[in-house]
Amino acid sequence: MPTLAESVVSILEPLVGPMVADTCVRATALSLGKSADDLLADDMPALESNVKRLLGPIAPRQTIDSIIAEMEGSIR
Amino acid sequence: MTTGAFSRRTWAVLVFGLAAAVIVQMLVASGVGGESTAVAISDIGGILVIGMAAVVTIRTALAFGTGEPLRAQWLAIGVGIAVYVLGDIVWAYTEVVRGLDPPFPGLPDIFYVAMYVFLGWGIISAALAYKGLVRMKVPLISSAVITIASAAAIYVVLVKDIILDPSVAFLEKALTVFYPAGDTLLLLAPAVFIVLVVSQLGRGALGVPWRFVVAGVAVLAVADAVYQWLEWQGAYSTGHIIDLGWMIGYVLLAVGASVMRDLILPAPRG
Repeated sequence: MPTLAESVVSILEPLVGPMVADTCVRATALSLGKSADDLLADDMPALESNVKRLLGPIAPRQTIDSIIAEMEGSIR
Repeated sequence: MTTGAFSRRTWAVLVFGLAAAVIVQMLVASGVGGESTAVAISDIGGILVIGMAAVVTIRTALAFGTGEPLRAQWLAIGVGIAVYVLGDIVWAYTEVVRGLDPPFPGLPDIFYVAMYVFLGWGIISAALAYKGLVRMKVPLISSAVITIASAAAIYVVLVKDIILDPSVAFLEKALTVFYPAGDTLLLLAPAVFIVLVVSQLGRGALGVPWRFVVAGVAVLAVADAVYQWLEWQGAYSTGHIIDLGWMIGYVLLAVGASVMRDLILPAPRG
């Protein structure tokens, strides 16, 4: 079963490519004092907040909302 | 998430835009209806094709929510295209309705110069929006190097001789220098910068619209440089094949806008 980090990267990748998707996840993990592989479902609010902050200036808001919904769906 | 395919709207903008540009140029080249008709077809056809590009781009901008950075970026690009069309309308009025040769420099140049401000600002602000996500230093240095090399080439090939030509009036010299300089510094440099920035997205769909924008800007820059040279040589007249370059350049910008609109996904339910 993929980790949370892997799931989120795979959701972001079609839009921003693998490098930026990885950056989004790693930046969140770093801000929480964790490695990307250690991210858990409890860290989802921080992940969502970081994705919104980083992608907000470059992607349509509705698309970001859709990605967030998909991220939430991946942990259910 | 599906982001790979273009919408029917985008295909329509691409195919219809390019086809319309080519048809206008073919009608002009055929000389149908005589010289004055060919000039009218060229001027009005250009206005319709580039006007369509302005409408598509502005509609894309307005498809984004109020306060969204993408709205401001694409609105600047769309308004830039629209002011260029205004310049073309003034040009066509002078040439087709009044039957006069549009003066250079003249009223249309005010709109053509304004276009650089809007278009350049839109592309630069879009590129800077990636700050924090990707490396900016390498694209910045690379675009600066490419810009300096292009500016030097344009200076040697085009600008130097025009500046030294005593038969060219000051304002004409200033504008003749501004257009290639504006193409290089305000359009090409930001375009190269953004394409290097979004190249770091790999196959990420967000990079695709900007690749069309860069292609469009490159076509516009070449068309402008050739136009300046032809104008200086007294070899340009309305309906010249170079007019096709402007139409295609702006159509490519509109395609970029439409591709960006394709990336708006349906709102999540519940």
